[in-house]
Order: sequence, then C-alpha cells, then structure tokens
Amino acid sequence: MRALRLVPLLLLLASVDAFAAFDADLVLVYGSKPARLLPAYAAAAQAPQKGTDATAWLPPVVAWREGEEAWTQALVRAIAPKKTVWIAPPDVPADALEIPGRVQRIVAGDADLGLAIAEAAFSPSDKPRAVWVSEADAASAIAAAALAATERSPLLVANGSLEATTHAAATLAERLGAKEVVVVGRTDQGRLASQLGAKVRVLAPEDALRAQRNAVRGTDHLVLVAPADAKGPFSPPRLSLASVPYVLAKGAALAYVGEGAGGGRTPEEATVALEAEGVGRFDFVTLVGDWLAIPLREVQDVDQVARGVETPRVHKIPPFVDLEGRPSDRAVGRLAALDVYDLSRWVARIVHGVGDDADGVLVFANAHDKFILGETISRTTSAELANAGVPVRSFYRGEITRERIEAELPRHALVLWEGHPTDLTLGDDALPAPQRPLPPSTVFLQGCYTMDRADPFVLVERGANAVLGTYMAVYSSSGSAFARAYVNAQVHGGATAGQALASARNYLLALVELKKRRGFTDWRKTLRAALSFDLWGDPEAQAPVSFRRPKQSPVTARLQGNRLSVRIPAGALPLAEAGPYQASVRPGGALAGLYNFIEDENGKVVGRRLSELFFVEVRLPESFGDAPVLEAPYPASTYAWIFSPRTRTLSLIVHEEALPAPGTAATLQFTVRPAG
Amino acid sequence: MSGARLPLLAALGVAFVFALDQGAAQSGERPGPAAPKEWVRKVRLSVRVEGDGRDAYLELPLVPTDAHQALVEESLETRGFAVEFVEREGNRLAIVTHPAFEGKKRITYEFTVKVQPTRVEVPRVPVAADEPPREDWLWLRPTKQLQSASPLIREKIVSFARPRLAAGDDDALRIAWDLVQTGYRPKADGSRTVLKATRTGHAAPRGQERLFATFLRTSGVPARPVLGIDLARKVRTRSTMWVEAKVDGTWIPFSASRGLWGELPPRFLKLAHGDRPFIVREGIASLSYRWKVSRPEEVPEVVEP
Repeated sequence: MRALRLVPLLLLLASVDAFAAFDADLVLVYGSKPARLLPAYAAAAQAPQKGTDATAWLPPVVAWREGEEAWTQALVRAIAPKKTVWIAPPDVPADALEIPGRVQRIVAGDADLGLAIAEAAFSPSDKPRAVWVSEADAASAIAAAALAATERSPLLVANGSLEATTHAAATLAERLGAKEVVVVGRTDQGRLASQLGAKVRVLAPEDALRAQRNAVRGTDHLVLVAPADAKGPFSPPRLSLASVPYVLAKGAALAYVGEGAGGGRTPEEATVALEAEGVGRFDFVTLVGDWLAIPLREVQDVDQVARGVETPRVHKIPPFVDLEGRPSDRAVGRLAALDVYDLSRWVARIVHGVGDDADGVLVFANAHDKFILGETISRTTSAELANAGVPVRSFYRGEITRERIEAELPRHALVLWEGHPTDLTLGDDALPAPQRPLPPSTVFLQGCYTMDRADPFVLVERGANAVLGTYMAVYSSSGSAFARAYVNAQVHGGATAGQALASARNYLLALVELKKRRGFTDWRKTLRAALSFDLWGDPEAQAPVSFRRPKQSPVTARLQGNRLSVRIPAGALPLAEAGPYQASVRPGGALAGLYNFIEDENGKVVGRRLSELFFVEVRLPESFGDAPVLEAPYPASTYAWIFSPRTRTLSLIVHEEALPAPGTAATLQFTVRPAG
Repeated sequence: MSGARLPLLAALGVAFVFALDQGAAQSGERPGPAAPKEWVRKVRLSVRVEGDGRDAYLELPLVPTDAHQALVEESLETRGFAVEFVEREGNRLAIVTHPAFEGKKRITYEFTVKVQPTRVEVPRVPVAADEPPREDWLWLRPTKQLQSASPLIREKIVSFARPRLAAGDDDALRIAWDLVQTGYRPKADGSRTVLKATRTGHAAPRGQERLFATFLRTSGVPARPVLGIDLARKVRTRSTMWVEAKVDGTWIPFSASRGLWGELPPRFLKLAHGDRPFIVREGIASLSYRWKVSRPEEVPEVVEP
C-alpha cells in the first residue's frame, strides 16, 4: 500500500523539466544548520546533464565557517567562479573570503533564511511542482532535500514550529503557483491541511526515502548515511548533511544506517535488505560518516586467536569484509571527514573534479629503513607504473626527509607511502605535510594502523580525494603486495578505486589459499592484511593518473569454454633490489613474502629472490555454478583460487613453479568445471 | 599595540640597561608557606637568532596584563630588526622582521611584572548541543594540536561521558577534567599530542593540558592553552603551559597536569594563549632562547593602559 501511495509522486518526479535555480557556479553557505544548508541544495539543483546517472546537477555547494577559510579559499580559487551565491546570517563579514566574479548575497537571520533562499532561487515562471517542508531532524531533512532537488522545487526546513514553516511554505506555494506542499516528517496531514486550507501531503521520513529510491530504481550505487551524526553533544560532525549533492550526482539510492533513523542497521544489513526488495544491485556502496556514526566491526586478531594468545588485540575491520576470507564482491568507499565543512569541499572535488592540477606518482618507501622486503616489492610497483607511461618519483629510506615531503606531496596525483606508520601530517615525531593545499590526489598509506590516525582526516581537509590505509598491523610484505595488486588493478584492469580495493583484497585472499596449499602455517597474517585495508573516497573514482599502453606486455587471462589460459609474457620489469632481496616480475605479475635463497657457487647464501606470482580475474558464466573447481597439469601447490558467486568473478593465483622454469614465458592452461 | 604599556619602546633601538643580577639565582625556588601572596619579578628573555639569507620573520609574545598579573614596565631591544606591535586574538605580539637576514643577532625583551595568586569559584557548564555562537568559535574550533573534531577524541569523550550524561551529570568541565585525570597515565616523557596520547594512553604534562583544552572544545566550552613561564623553576625549564576556559564570559585558569582547578599560583606568568608556538618564526636558520628571572630592588608604579 505504501508503494501505491508513492505512485503519483514518482510519476511527477519522472516528468520534471529543467527549472531554473540559482544561476551560479558556486554556492557558499555559512555554517551547517540543516535549515540553512539543505534548502541551499534544493535551490541550487538543476536538470542533470544528459548521459549521466545524476538525478540533478548542482554547482559546488560548500559549507564553511571560521577556521575553514584557508581550505575554502583554496577551493574557491580552483573553481574560479564567475558567479557565486553567498548564504549567511547578517553578522558574518562579507569579506571573510575573497570571491572573484559576481556575488549574489542572501543574508538573513535563521528564522527567515530558508525562505530567503527559496525566494532568491525560484519565481512563478519556474513553475515548481511543490514546495517541500521538512521537520528539523536530519533524517527527514536529508530525504526531503534529495527529493526537492530531484524535482527542482524549493525546500524549507523547520527551524522551530513545523506548523509555522508549513504555513510559510503554503504562502510561498501560492505565490510560485506550486500545486502542493509536501511535508516530510511525522505530523498529521488532515490537521495541517485544515489549518492551512492548502493542498498538503505528509510523507513519513521512511516513505520519503522510499520515494527517493524508487526514483533511481535499478541504480548500482547505494549511499548509506547516518543522520544521527547531525545532533547531540560533543561536536557532532554532521557529515550526513553533505551527502545530498553526492547522492544526486551519482543517481544513487539513499538509505540510513546506524543509531536513530538508521534503526541500528549495519551497512551490510541495509544493503542486503534493499537488494532483496529489488531496489537495485549495488556494486558500489558509499558510506557517508565516520566510524562513530557508522561503526566498524571490532574483531579479535585472527592470527593471535589461532595462536592461543590469551588477550588478543582487537581490531576494527571495514564493512563488507568477511572474516572467513570469502571474496570481496562490492566496490566500497567511505566519505569520512572531520566535519561537514571538510566533507562539503570533498564532495565538490569528487563531483566536479576541481582542484589544483597534479600528475604523476610519488612513492615514499621504507622511510625508517626497517622493511627491506616491502621496499623490494614497492620498487617493482614503481616500475609497473613507469611501464604504463606514468611519471614516477620514488624515494627510499634516508632520501625521505621532512623537506622532501613538504616539497613533493602537493605535486602528485597518486602518493604511495609504504612503511612504518609515521604521520605524514602530525605527531610527536612527525614528518610534516605542507601547510599548503593538496591537489585532489589519492594517498595510499600502506603501513600499520594508518587509518586510525590523524593523517586521513588532515589529508582530506587539505584537498586529497582518496585515502587508503589500514586499521591494524600488517606485515610489510603483505602490505606492499596489496599496494602492488591495487596498482595493477588500475593499470591493467581499468578498475575504479573501489574495484581496485576489492581486487587487491581478493589477491591476498587467494594468496591465503595458496599458502594453505603450500603448507605455510602463517597464512592468518596474510588474512589479517586482507581484512585491514579500507578506502576513504568515492568507490567509483577512476585512477588519479592516466596510463598509456604498457611498454612491456602484461600477464593476461582468457576464458574460452571451460579452458582458462594465463599468458605469461617473456619481458620482465627491471630487476628490483633492496638489501639482500631481489625481485624480477613480469608486468601485471604479483609478489608476496615468498622467496628462495640465492646461493653462490660454494653454496653460501648471498641473497633472497622473491618468488614471482601471477594473479588474474575472469568472469565465469552461470553454468559453472557457485563453487567452480580448477584443474591443471601442475602441482596443486602452485595455484589456488577464490570465487565470488555474487560477481561471478574467479580470482586465480599461480606460483612461478607452474612455469617450465622461473622467468620463462608460458601460457598456463587450466580447466574450469562446476563442483560435484 | 598599547603604546602606554610600552613606554620604553617609543625609543626603539635604544638599549635599556637594568640591574639584572639581583643576587641569588632563582633556580629551583619553591614558594613555601611564607611565600608572599604577590610576586614581583624582573624577567629577561634573550633570543638568539641565526639567519641564512632569507627574509626573517618572528612573532614574539609580550606580557599581557590581566586579573592575574600586571605588567610594570618593559623594553625590547631588537638590534637591527624592524619591529611592529600588534594585537592578535588577544595576544600582544612584537612582529620582528629583517630582510635577507644573515649571521647571528640577539633580541632582548625585559620586563617587570607583579603576579597575584588566582582562585576562582568554577561554575557548572553543561555540555553544549547546539552550534556555538560565532564569537566563541575561535576558541572552539579544532586546531593543529587541539584536534577536537577528531573521531578518536570524540569517541574517547563520548564513551566516557555516556553513563554520566545518562545519570544527569552534564558538567562539561568536570567530565573533561575527570577524563584527563583518569583516562590517561601521566608520564614525564609521554605524548605531548592529543591523538598520540589517546592511542597510547599516556600523556606528558603538556599533553594533559592539550587534552583538557581539546575535550573542552569538543564539549562546546571555549578553551585555550596558555603559554607561560614558571618564575620559580630552573632556567632551562621555565616554559610551561596551562589552560584557560571561558565560563560565563570569564577566562578561568586550570592545569590538568598540576591538579589546579580554577586556580593559578603567582609563580606562573602568562605570555600568550592559543594553539601557537611560543615564538612563531619563518626564514630563520636557527633560534634559541633563555630566561633570566630576578627580584627587582625597587618596583615602579603599575602602568595601566
């Protein structure tokens, strides 16, 4: 019945035309009160550009206040607006920010600001279908803002009495010629209608959310938000409020998780429930909220538990990660920031691609001269990127200085930090980030507990577009192998950030299976690394650097019928050497903490050569079932696989011992069959 | 800048010579039971600056007058540096500059102060849930060392305060104070930054002060670290820190590391407040400074602005 009640609304949402809104290429909103920020989204919304999934197009809508001037100013400079809309209470100095071009100022006290925004953006000639009203709570207001923006109608958020705001909305609706007033909240429709004498419709917050999802039915992107982060004591960050322009730009479905309006649901529970309802098949999931609003699962260290440690450490692990090592089958990212101001700038960067130009890759590896094995793998990652035509600047050990970090960090689109978890930004013994803004870069912090620190927040505040890192301790070999697999997925697979994260996770999970087959008992350390990495950023984001066709051909795989061929090219990347370790790897090849000793003619050990691994992923047709089996004329200890029934992706890892000889070219043949 | 407070600075570049050595050194001096209520001290700060050819810029804090302390007289000898006096965020600052500065120079700041003991009845302040007024935001916003918006910090105070709030205790000052006192192990060489202290569970005295100020900001109480000197300590360890919290429009002193709740003994002299280094510097190759504290023989009248 509920769905039926929504039909007229959905028909109207589907038929909206491009109405006028703010004629601006930047909207600056002072403060983050829902009654100020959310009406600005509705007022800024225009028809989506053709060929996109978006449900509305908004110029960058940036919230700011004192303390945010430097980073806001940097973004304003990058946008270089010709026309800006300034929304603020009267006591905010007009010259607090330097804004080029024309500025339209909407200045009013909180009681009148929502109405002032609507009146500045809409006129009777715009013919908005409705005027939307929301209760003050974030759950109602976020859903109302998304719906109002989708149909390009004004929104008022109650600052005090809902009745008074609805009355103002009715007056506005009459003036604009809007057909109705839609109230999102828990109030009595009949009483409101009789009081106002206007056509009023009331939607409960959950019905408003359902209407939003029905408007984007079939989308592959789900945005999970925790409105509980917008109220309460102790400086709630209000990140949920800034989710609206992201949801609209992605054409994503919106759902609530966490406490309060989230009903205590976890991201996994919410996603599975919506898929079961047929809302979409969510290959991309974005969580908007820090780990207080959308908690991470806390688990005991899998390795320590297995070893019988009496009080094992407790770690946080990201959502959609399986403790038993089942494959990662969604591209997941989190938008977490210190506050709504940082997030509003971040969303603007993500959606509009604004930011200072930067290109190329910066690699800082083994700054503390402790992780030689990881450094060896990292050197092959640099070579992989160079092979794909990317300018790479790599620094190791003592080359990594305070001055070098300050000079290099703002210049690169992809930064790969590998090694001891020294803060790039702040700490007792910190290596400092520069005080100047960063480009919209991806910063990969490959080390222990790198997401449990200040760095990701500070990097996002200053302009980074994505940060990857860990919530627990990882060994350098597993960590560097993960980073290499991530890069490979982007270089050779064209993966987005979230897809590359899933692929790299699956590489380590396949490695776990290979280690088991080879009789290694330390596989849980690799599993721990597979569980630990997380992405803060848009899971749909393309690689931050552009790749050319690789100079040397990469490892490839092809499925024909039930024959899976893995082609290993002859040409390898330059030999990587660090301390006693060396690695020779083909483009697209993989490495881990598996090595052989190198002996001289007298049998004396003179070094360690990393074993070359090959990792490929192929889609399998339904006919192979949900537990396909691989067979090959090679020892069982030389290959292993995992399979995701959801994505039907087979992830295969092969040890170099399957080759006729190490380093030779070959085409390895596997047969795939259903189980049983 | 208040010219009246800096009568001797009108003659910039002129060195004023004080009888600085007033006998016994003050090292390790402790106020005993017979210690006077008011302390009067003559203080000299010598800053040694070395340049490498860049344009040098220094911000030197000048002693403020407030309810706790009164500036009697002061002089600044900058020896070839240009100087401008400004007031920023309530701090009196000497902006000292020199184009293309090379070599070594010494800047000397001398002053005489009267310092009173401060003891304030601390009112109860409820944890704030609303957006703060604009005028307080300067002392509420997160800064480099006071990362009050960090989820690590919020997680710490939310979990600590939850049962107290549920029991009806919403005194923000007491919650933040008790959290610092019970949630962190004091350690002389512990962490001085709030995030590292929160990760490790131990904090140096400076870390305790920053934690207290940070938790207050998270709770919606305007708070700021105070940079000052301990007039009673040894020469090399005079620099110290405590916290001021704004309650009902009044800044009240606290020191979480010393257990000082709404009080400040006269041995502590304030120089500046806010999350800032003692001396802001740019274009300087190296900088060092030392303090000398002595008892003046004769104290002139206090100069009020």
